[in-house]
Amino acid sequence: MSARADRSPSARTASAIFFIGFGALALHLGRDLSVGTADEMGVGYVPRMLAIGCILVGVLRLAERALLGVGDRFEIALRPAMLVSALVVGFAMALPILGLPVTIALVVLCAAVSGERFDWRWLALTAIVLALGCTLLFGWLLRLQIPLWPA
Amino acid sequence: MTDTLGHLATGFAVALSLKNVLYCFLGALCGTLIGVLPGIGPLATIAMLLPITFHLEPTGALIMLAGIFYGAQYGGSTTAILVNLPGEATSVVTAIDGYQMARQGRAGSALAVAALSSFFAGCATTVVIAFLAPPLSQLALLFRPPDFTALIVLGLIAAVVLATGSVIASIGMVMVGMFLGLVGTDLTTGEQRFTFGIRQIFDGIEFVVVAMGVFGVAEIIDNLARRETRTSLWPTREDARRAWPAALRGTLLGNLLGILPGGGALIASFASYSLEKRLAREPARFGQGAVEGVAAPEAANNAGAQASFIPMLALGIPPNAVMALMIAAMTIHGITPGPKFLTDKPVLFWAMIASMWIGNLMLVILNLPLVGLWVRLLRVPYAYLFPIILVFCCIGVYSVNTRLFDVFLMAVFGLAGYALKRAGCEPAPMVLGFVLGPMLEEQFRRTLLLSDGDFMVFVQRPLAATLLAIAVALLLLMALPRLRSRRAEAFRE
Repeated sequence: MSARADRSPSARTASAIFFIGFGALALHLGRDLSVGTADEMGVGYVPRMLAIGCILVGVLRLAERALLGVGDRFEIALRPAMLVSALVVGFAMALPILGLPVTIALVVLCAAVSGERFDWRWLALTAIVLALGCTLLFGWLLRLQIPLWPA
Repeated sequence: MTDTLGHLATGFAVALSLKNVLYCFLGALCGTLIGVLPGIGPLATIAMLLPITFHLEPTGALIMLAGIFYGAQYGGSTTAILVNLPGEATSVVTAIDGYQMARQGRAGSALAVAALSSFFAGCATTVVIAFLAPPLSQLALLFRPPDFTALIVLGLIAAVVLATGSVIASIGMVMVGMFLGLVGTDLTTGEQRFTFGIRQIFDGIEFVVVAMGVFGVAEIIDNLARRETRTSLWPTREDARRAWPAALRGTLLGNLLGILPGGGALIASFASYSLEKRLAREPARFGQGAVEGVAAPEAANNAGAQASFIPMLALGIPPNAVMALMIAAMTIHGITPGPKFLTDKPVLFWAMIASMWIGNLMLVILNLPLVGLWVRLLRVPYAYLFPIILVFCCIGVYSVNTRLFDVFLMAVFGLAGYALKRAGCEPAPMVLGFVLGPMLEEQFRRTLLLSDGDFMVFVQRPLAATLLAIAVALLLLMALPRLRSRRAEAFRE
């Protein structure tokens, strides 16, 4: 492991923060829901139980960290995470404006920055074939309600 | 007896119509094509192809789903063998010896053995389902709300136990999933919960969005983050003599364990592998490319997966995430699995049983000649593969409700799923919790309403008490040795 890895937090701690945060947020957001009693549960009863359960799990994860040591590290590969979500968001934003085939071609071409080794000619071919294939399959054969042409 | 055979004949008559056979074939083909893509497990494959079935009538749709299910399952085993990338937990065991066989140049043999063992197990299990499902659905009528509550808890605990990684983290993920499942309009009171006025989630968060996000998108990120080098493969010879008794034992084990509610297929594949290892004359061969190590777990896994249709169809409770997706798919077509499914829609039920067998057959026909092609398909560089997969995910999610909002939400779930995975929290228990959460709340509420808020009802009813006892035992059984080994690991540090 590299020196950088040693500085990243324990996966146990990271998940503990998530569970406690999730539980606390859920409690806060659900504070106005009626809880009721066991024989007549309100809409807030089970959500509150689950939120408290999440906080407990978080505390237990912290205990694991304290008793069992660091364990696996919490390392995030930021570049692929950002790239992939950007491609998905980009797809959703471009679709109503550019239509399906153009959007697909763009997504495939933008995927070039992933850091994977590739050849421009093959990538262009993939883009064209996928754009036409999907348009044919989803647009015409399955008659999906999806914008095909640029608006 | 003759009754069952008569029903089965009706089922085959429906399933064997030209149109339905075509759907089944298409399903198996697409399922395999998408399923063999590295990084796309059976769950993501089914989630992705689900929208295609929306446009068919229910019988055709379910038959196509059965085909997709088999294709996806087999696709997962294919990647496990060829590139050591098990698509799902059930093919983890297959990867141990299958990948070793592939490295020794016996990839073709391993793939063929996997397909044939699965087919054999599928045939046997179809018969078992045909005979066992009717009595089991009768049994299901005995279940009262406390028993259903206990059964769902057992299912969730089983999912926790079977997930890789920390038990505590998995319990947490189940609860997060259940919580997310409750978002939307409460069915009993019509009150809104955690919707923040976002119109698109008034009916709850779309299941496909969650599944595609945490399995599809998150897995692509993970794959891009750690690339593996691939070896070239040349299929060569068969090893049938050793494989078939192993497949037979695997089938048996798969049937026995698959009927239990809660992840039977996975336990079955692990159990059958250890059984083969124990029975073998030279156990040292295991892990070095023993063909039994592929045949037995593949048969067990397929038999288990198929047998798990029984609790699902009879009780309406999915034993694992894949089955949860199948239930979601059925609900979309207006079919509610449960004790009444069999009596209300007998033709559909039997057609589905028959189509399971046909789906299985399609798979063998389709895959044996194509083994060589799969080997080559897997050499497509990830740079071209991942945008293709991603585009399918986007279109798939969009097509469920023709809503761009769902695509955005999928990106959120993808990022969260990836981060959680890195934090040691597997997404599969969350997805199961997501499906079972609303069911559990409903039954839990009903139980305590009927018992005037008395929690003792769970201990007083024998059925509920037994199920809960099994759940607790499972949890202890799993937690104790893990804790011990974990501590040993901590001391070494």
